[in-house]
Amino acid sequence: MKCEQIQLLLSQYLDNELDELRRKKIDRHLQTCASCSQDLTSLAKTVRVLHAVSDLNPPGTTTKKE
Amino acid sequence: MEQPARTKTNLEISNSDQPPYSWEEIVRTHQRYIYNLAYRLCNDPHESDDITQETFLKAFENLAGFRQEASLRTWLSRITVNTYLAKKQKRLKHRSIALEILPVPDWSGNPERIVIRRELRWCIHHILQHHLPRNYRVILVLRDLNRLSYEEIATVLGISVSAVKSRLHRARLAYRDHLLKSGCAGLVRDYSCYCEGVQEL
Repeated sequence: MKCEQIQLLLSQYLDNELDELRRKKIDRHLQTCASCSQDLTSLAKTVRVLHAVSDLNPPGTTTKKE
Repeated sequence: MEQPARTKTNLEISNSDQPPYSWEEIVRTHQRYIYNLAYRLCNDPHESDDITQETFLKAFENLAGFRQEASLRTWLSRITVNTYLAKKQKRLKHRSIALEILPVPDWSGNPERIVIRRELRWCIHHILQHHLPRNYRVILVLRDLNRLSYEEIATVLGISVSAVKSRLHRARLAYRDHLLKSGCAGLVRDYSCYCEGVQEL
């Protein structure tokens, strides 16, 4: 697979939404392609930042945070 | 949040596969999730409360028509997104958000850490609100903040799963580019100096 194809799949790769075959192809590509690896890292960090936003309690509730 | 007035008993949904559940139970189970979805979409605590109430009111009024083809959470999420979009169409003005009014999770400790978290939260929500197209904001909130599956998002937005995949990826790339371009030095520097703060935000 070419870099352009790989990069389109990086979000699905991060979300474990790819079938085994494609996942392995990307794994192999990432071992040798610094550019795609860097893209994956920055995308993963971006997602991690978004995931870090914690829940708020709605007004008038006393439910504990999850 | 106030609940719709009832005159007799709990409204119950029942079919042969699932036990009946009450309106109170529905609200109790999903209120927090829906409030947070609304808050992340509009970034305004008062408006989030309004959207949450409106969502449950609409759900209450249409509960008989809920055919359980999707999960209740997905159905409520769809109502929430549609309510938000309808409100948004009414007023399309760019608003700045005062750092001070942003709610911060309960935490009493080092004041410096509170400031860091406020700044991070501000950065995250500011980019979502003001630097991304609305369809990118909605899909990022549904997936990365409210953690819906691709299939659930497709149902909420009425689009195909493959459209979800491509839109989500474009949205994440746009978000990443704005993070990198933003003035939030902590995030630009490889996120490293605020990592701990981000984890606890």
